[in-house]
Amino acid sequence: MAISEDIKATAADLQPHVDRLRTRIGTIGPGVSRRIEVGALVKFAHATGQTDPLYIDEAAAAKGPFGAIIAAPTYVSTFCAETMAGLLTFDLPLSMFLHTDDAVDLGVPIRAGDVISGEARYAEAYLREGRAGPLLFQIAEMTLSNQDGARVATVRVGSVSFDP
Amino acid sequence: MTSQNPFADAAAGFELPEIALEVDRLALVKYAGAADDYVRQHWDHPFMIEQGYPDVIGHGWLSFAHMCRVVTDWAPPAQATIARYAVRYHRPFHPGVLTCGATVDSVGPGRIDLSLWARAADGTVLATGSVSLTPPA
Repeated sequence: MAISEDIKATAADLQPHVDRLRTRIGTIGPGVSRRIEVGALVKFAHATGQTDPLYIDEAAAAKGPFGAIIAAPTYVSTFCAETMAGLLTFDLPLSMFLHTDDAVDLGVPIRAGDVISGEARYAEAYLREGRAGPLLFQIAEMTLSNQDGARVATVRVGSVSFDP
Repeated sequence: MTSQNPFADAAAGFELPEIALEVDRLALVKYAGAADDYVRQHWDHPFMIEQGYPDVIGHGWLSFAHMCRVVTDWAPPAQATIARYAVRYHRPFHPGVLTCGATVDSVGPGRIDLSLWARAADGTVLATGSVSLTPPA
């Protein structure tokens, strides 16, 4: 057996970690509340290649259907790091983690000037055997709402930890 | 090509115009700043080489943002609202050319469902997803 295989975590090694993580299911992470600045929305739109005036042109958007610049479709992802910090953990005997999937239901759009509040819930942790070793999946769900209490989004994010 | 009325124009099987773009490391840095996403897989080249990868990995959310742009270029936010979306990342995406496309799956009263994909320059499917559009509120 190669040395690299000797030091890789096995499913049996990981089971206590999964058991520990599963006690977190239902736990709510730190809440976030952020006033949405025009500049942040424009910067995000530029970084994702968006050119529609409703995403980047304050004057044009003010005359448009939303009365202000709105967030590009995936802007809701920018709340994940803060709301999921300390909730999902990558302090595991596995050296790599990657993002696996997302599922999002959108409510009212995020408009410049809104105050968006959110929190995330630890949803799931489980092990699967992959081709090159065990895979440890974690899932969190985030909800976002605006200053009027209107639902902005529900965002479900999946991640996998493994040894490459 | 933008549709003035996607709910009248859409038909099952319609393929939206693809987009292809170079997503280089600078684009990843810009996205990291814009999205407040500082996960090291996206910028720490020595770490990723040590882990056995050929390069840093692009943000999944960035590839999906470009997949969504195929939809919003055709059905802009004044013409249609994205009500829900889902994406699955199949392979890590390294800096290089990213090509994205979408196909209309079904058109119902006040709803268009689409399938989306992103491919690397060598044709590898990096991510697949879905978007549901509704008329503007």
